[in-house]
Amino acid sequence: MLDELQPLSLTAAARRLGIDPFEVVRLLVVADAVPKGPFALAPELVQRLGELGRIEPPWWEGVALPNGEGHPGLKRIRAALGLLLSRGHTAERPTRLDNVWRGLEHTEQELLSRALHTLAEASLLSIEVTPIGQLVCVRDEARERVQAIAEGSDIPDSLTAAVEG
Amino acid sequence: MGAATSVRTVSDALAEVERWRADQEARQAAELVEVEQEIKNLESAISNLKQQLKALTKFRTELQGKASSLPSRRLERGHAALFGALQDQASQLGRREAMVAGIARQREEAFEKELKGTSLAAMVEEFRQFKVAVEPNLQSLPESYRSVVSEHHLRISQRLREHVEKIASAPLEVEADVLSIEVVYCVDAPEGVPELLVVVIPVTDRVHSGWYERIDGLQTWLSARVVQAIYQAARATGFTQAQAMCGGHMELLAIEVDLLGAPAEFVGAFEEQLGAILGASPELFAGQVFATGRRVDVDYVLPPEEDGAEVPHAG
Repeated sequence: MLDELQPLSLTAAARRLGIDPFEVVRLLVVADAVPKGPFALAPELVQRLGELGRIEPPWWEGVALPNGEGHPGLKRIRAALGLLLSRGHTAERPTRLDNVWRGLEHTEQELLSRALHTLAEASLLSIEVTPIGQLVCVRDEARERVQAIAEGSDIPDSLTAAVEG
Repeated sequence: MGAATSVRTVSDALAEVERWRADQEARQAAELVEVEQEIKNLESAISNLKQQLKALTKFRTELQGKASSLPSRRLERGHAALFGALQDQASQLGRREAMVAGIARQREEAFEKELKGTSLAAMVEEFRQFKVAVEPNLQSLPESYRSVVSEHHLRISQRLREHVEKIASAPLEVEADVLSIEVVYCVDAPEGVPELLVVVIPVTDRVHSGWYERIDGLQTWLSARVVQAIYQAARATGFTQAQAMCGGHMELLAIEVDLLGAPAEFVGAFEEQLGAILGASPELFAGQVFATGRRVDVDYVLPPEEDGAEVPHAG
């Protein structure tokens, strides 16, 4: 009952925001709000960090994976690419990288991380490190290709390898 | 006729020659045996010396080999010694963390008792009643009532929160010996230009890989302070692309920062921040943990393998 009155530990703040505790520290530095005392963070501060870090609620509630045969991991990746496009995350509007997998099981988070980095190496996505964290977007010149991958065609071999890897 | 003069006969003379010959023959035969023996002895000695020479030559080769491999063996031993020491420190820190967790539990229990026995108890009960009975129906109240109730609840919450924060924000003091902990770091610059900062913290790598299943403790706090130093140094030097990449190295937490594009002063700023932050971390002091940064040779952390490649990095 009194939990909501208590300051949050680093781990509790990380759970609330859906990022790891070291990313919380990173945002504390950006916000110039690292506690002088122990890591006890007021709920309002944690909320502010979420806004500063452009942390979004999980994307996946009610999202169906593509139908048909195929590796479930690949379907998850295709769905993630579809979400990036439908939410308009192109060069003008990059999103926080971990927004893509927040709320998923750890293994699926790792899979998506691997896949998105693979697609960034293939110059289809752009992943940029910024003070608030890594941001991702679909490269403007690669929109059609990414759309095709999301629809299940033109899957790069490197992506298939990332799924199996 | 006088007595006959004894005259040596030819037979005697020849017989004497025969005896001489026989003597000579015997002596020469004996000498030959001796010489043969001497030759055999010498041959045996030569054979022994050859064997000794061969053994010494082999030993010399081995010594030369050892001398040439001394630098790499020094690195191997340095790597093992470094990580052995860090693993010892990690074990000690793990035990200290358990002590701190015990004190945290005691404090929580004491706090709950305190809430029941003081003037706060009435406020807590009021807070509880609001959450259970009032809040779910708040929207059904007229606006004027709603704002009065909400404002009152806000005041109660604020007072309770101040009290809770005061207790929860106090460091967890441990009565124990001071534990010295070293955060080790190095800079990899194979071509002379710094390419990678590697920090190894004497905590389990589960602090990062298994953070979701853990609660805060000394190991998380120490690691968080190191991460703070990295990002504060990045901020101070305008290194906007700094990314702390965490992974395990010999079951300890390793953090790497790719220095591609980093300003030249970043590493110096990190060293400065690390010293200042570790020297002013109340949660570590309260746990009687004295942590310092220590720069080491990169080859002790990432020793080159025989084929010239380094050991795998944390990822």
